[in-house]
This record gives sequence, structure tokens and C-alpha cells, in this order.
Amino acid sequence: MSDRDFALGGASRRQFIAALAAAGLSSTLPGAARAAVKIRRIDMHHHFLPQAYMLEEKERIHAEHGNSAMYSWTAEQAIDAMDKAGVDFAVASISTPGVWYGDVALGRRLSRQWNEAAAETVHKYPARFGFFAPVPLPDTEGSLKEIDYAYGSLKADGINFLSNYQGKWLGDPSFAPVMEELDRRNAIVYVHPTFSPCCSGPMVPGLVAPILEFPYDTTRTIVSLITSGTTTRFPHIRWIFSHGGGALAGVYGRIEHLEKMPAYRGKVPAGMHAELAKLYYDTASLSPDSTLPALLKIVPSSQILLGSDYPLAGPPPTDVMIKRAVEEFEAMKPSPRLRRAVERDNAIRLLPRIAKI
Amino acid sequence: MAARKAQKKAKSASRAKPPAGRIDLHHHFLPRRYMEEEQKRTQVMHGNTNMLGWTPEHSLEQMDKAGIAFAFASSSTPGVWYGDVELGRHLARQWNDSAAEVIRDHPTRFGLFAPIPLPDTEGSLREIDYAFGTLKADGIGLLANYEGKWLGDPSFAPVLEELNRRKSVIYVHPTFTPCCTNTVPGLAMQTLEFPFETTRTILSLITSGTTTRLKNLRWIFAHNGGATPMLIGRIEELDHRPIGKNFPAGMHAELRRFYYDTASAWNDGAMTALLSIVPSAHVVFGSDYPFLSAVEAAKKWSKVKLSRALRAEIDRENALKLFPRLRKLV
Repeated sequence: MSDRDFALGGASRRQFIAALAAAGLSSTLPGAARAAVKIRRIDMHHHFLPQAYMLEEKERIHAEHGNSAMYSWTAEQAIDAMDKAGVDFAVASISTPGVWYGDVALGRRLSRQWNEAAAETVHKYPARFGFFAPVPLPDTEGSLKEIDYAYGSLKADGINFLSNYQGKWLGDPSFAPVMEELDRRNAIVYVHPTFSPCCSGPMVPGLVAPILEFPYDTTRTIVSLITSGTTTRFPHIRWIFSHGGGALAGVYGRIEHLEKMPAYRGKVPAGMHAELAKLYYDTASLSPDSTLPALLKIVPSSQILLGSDYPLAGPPPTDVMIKRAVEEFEAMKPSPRLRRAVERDNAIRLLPRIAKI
Repeated sequence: MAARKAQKKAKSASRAKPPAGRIDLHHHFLPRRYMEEEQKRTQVMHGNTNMLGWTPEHSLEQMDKAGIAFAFASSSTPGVWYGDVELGRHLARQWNDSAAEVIRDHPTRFGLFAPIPLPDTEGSLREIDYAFGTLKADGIGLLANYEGKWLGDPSFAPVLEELNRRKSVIYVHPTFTPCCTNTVPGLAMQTLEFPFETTRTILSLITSGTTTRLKNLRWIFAHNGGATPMLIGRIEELDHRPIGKNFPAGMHAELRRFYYDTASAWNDGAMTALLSIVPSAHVVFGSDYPFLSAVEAAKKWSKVKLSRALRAEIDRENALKLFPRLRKLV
């Protein structure tokens, strides 16, 4: 990856955004849910909001980060938004608050409910969707059962975690049995940020918590996974993190040598950088003129996946959200190699089945 | 006048010619009297016993080795506020007097960002007057929050208004924050939570309308602005929310007005993000000495891929523009 992979020109950020508004997508796929002949783009940060789950959990779901689409989501609308963006395939995941509310039976029921609803959508549109299955962590037994069910019966593409459960980040030793099982299965694990009990006190007035605290929590859980030795011990898990790893590239200078700290000696034999370079990161809320190039200075372009965060990426209208994500990326004129890698090839390397659809 | 005389007299004590021209905007003084008095508190917060042995000579030695001609001294966390008005005023004064003494001995090597005892408004206003009037401070040093209130909090407005009137430079250093404790076990709070905290206070200043209202303030933020550059895609969304009315020029325009030091940002990733978001004229060299070795800082910094011109700007020229008085000194 070199600077030449981006044609940054001399344009300022403002000009860039103005140009975006004026430009349209060069190619969109007409027609609704038709199967893609050749996969052009794959959206790896894409939320399903199954309405049975959403309505049941309405009062638990933090309305503050949502929008009108939250309670009216349909697979058909998602497909329409994908078509508008020339996105042929999306792998769906759950967003915060997930399925865990401190009740084992409820957690198991909600994850099962969400996963079955997702599998139903995937079954209906097999050429358009896959899914990452949420599990009811911190309930180990329930999670192991759900992993088995998700892979065995529902043919999930991977497992879906939140960045912390009850304030424990993913490197916490209590999650090790689940990690061990996922390592055994060479699982893909998609990690989405959530609120964190560590940091839910009064925040900057008027700021919705997800704006800062979500990317912070993603970075915390990445550091937790590496410094605890989890990524070293379970090298077969393929981790995907939302939003470019959150604040990761910004704080890289503060974490790049943590392996040398006495507390972590021996736990990260390959070093922080080697571990970070193994993880995958989606492009949701990255700016292609600044933060994506920054991340690419730290990890190889093979680790970057297109992600839209549909239908929760900023303000409505939702139907152009995926299109916006793709346009932002492509307006920077990435080299053909980088564009293909991020938009499809890296995802297909993770999930070769997509290429065969 | 007396201070100037003392400066002249002390000039001989300072090294005659500094080796190279770097200007360090992120450099901590740990004055012995302050440290001894606050040993218990600072130890608890930092857990770093080496700091207690700091002397100005250590600073100078590191500066010489790292090619730093001049450094602006600031206090680090936990600062001078422990919930007691008298103590806060006493510690701020003690720190500032101690720092000024060092500066009198080495006027061509050190400048001062003076800490003030916020959230005590009256004490802070007095210390501002003393720091600028008597000690000839170059700016004021603030922490990212006081008692969990970020700098855009309306209770700080009188102090910021006074600083705005004086067209002050304000240096902001992160600290611990009551909102966000119990983070990743075993991980020092400074590692992730400090940069996160810097970003919180930047957003507090912008979204409260403080930076729009008080346009004469020249803000410098530590560590590349913390997480700020990496989160531009998320925080720019605030322009389109109701709170956006508090900063009509937009988030990005406000961020471009601030200055950022390079401490901890000595890698191509962090610098790529920062330099694509703010003008290069607003990036200044910072070492974070003595929490990090200035020599190490300079070594890492020298590995960042930058043009010679850009490096000269960040190492020195941008700071000279911010502090024209240095032109005659370094």
C-alpha cells in the first residue's frame, strides 16, 4: 500500500465534500432483489433489524443513536439501498444493545430469535445476504449452544460480538472457553461497539454517546484482545472490527510497544503491530481522504473491508446510506487494486462462498 | 522590570548556544517542591517514581541530545486542583514560581504555560494576572477536565473570556476523568483514556460554542488532539444535528483553528490523519518529556515520512509564528 493508491490531488476536505454532493455514482444495478451475476461490492458492516426483535426490545434499545428506519426495517428496503449503491452482497450483524440484559433465559431466547429471523432473510435472498450470528455472552453455555446452532442449522457466516459485555472487554479470561471453540472452528468474528459501563457517566453535554464512546470502546476491546494474549493464543479466529478499529490509528503511537511493558511480557510475542496487522477493519465512518489512508499506514490493505453501517449510519434518508459510503470511498479515486481489495476481494478471501453465488 | 534584570543576570547560567533548533511544546516541569508536597497524590495517579528526581539539568541534557533548542514547560496531571480552594491557589502559585525560577536561570531555553487553579474562578483569574504580569508566562496550561467538567462547561466561561481578552495561548493536557474509570484491566489509564479525554474536551469546546464565541484564544492540544483526527468522519456528523447551531462554521473549520503537538503521534498513521485534517502550520513538535525520553521522542519523530520543509515547519517555524519572541532567542 502506498500513497499512490489514493489520488489525493490537492483538494481540500471541503472541496472534496462539495464534489461528493455534485457527483453521482457511475454505476448502479437496476432492478430489485435480482441475483448478482458478478459480485462487485460487498458490505461487511450492515445491520439487520428484525422487527420482532426490535419491537420486543423497543424500550431497551437506546433510541438516541437511531432513526426512523429502526422500527420499519425490511430486507427489501435494505436490498433497494444496496442496489442504489451497486452493492451485491451484505453480511448482516446486530447493533447495540444486542441480546444480553443480565438474564440467561432472555439472552438465549433473543439471540435465537434474532438469528432465526436473520437466517430466514438470508434464505429468502441467498444471493444478497449472509449473516454473523450474535451469541448471548457472557453466558458461556448459551453461547456455545448458539454457536453450534448458528453454524450447524443456520449456516451462519460467522459470529457477532459486541465490544464488551457487562464492562468486560473481549480479552477477559471469562470469555476464553467461547474463544477456544471459535478458534477450533476458524471462525470469523465480527465485533460491533456498544455502550460501556466504564464510561457511561455524564458525558459531554449534547453529544450522543456513540459518536465518541463507540469508537473508543472498539479500540479498548482490540487492545484487550491483544494484550491479554487472546489473539496470540487463538490465531485461527479472524476478527473484523467496525469503524476502522475506532480510534486505533490515532492512538497507535501509544500502544505500538505495549508488548514491552512488564505487565504484558510474553503475552504478545509477535508484537502489537503484527497482531494489529492480522485483524480486519471495516470502512464505516472512515474518511477516505484522511482516516482511511491513516489506517492503511498501519495495517495492510488486505485487511480493509467495505462497510456502510446501514441503516444506522448517520441521519436519514436511509435509502442512500450505502450509496454514500461507496461514493465517499470511490470519490478519492483509489487505485483499481485498492478499490477491488476493499470492495470485494478481501471479503471474498474471508468468505469464498460469496464468489460462488 | 526586576524580572528582566534577573533574566539578564541569569543569562550566563544558561548554555550559550543550543545545538539545534527544535522547539518543544509538550515538556513537563516537575518542580521539586511541588512534587515533594504532592508526592502522595502524584504517585497514586502516575505510579512513576522516577519523576521525583527531575531537575532542570535533566531537561537541558535531554534537550541537547534531542536537538531541542527551547521548551515550553507545563504541568502534567494531576495538576493543582484537589477540591480545596486554598490548596489549589497555593499549588498553582508554587508551581509557577518554581518554573519561573528555572526560566530565569535559562531564559533562552524555557518558556512557561502556567497552570491555574480551575475550577476556582477567582483564584484562576488572579493567577492569570500574576502569570502574565509578573512571570511573563507564554500561555496558560489547562487540563482536559476539572472535576469531570470539560472545558466548554459554562462555569469556565469567565476565565476563558479573560484569556480571550488577552489573546492567550492555552495549552491543554489530558488527565483522568471521573466519567470513565474501570477501563481495560492492567492497562495504564494514560494509554488510551488520555487521548480519548483530549477529544472529549475538544468536542466540548466546539459543541458548547466556546471556540466560536472566543475567537482570540489559540488552543494547543497534546498528543495530536488525542483520538480526534481518526474520528473526523463521526464528529463531522454533528454539523447536521441541532447542536450544530453552536458552531456555524462547522466542526472541521473549528478543528483547523487549533494547534496540535506531535507527542505520541510519531508514526505515519497518526500524522497522515492529522495533516489531512488541519493545516500543517498548526502542528508543533512535542516530546512529552520526562514521561517519555526526549531522545526517544526525537528518534521516533525522525522516522516519520515528511518532506524536509514540512519537518522544519513542525520542528520550529510554526512555534516561532505562535511565539514571535523566540525569534530573538533561538
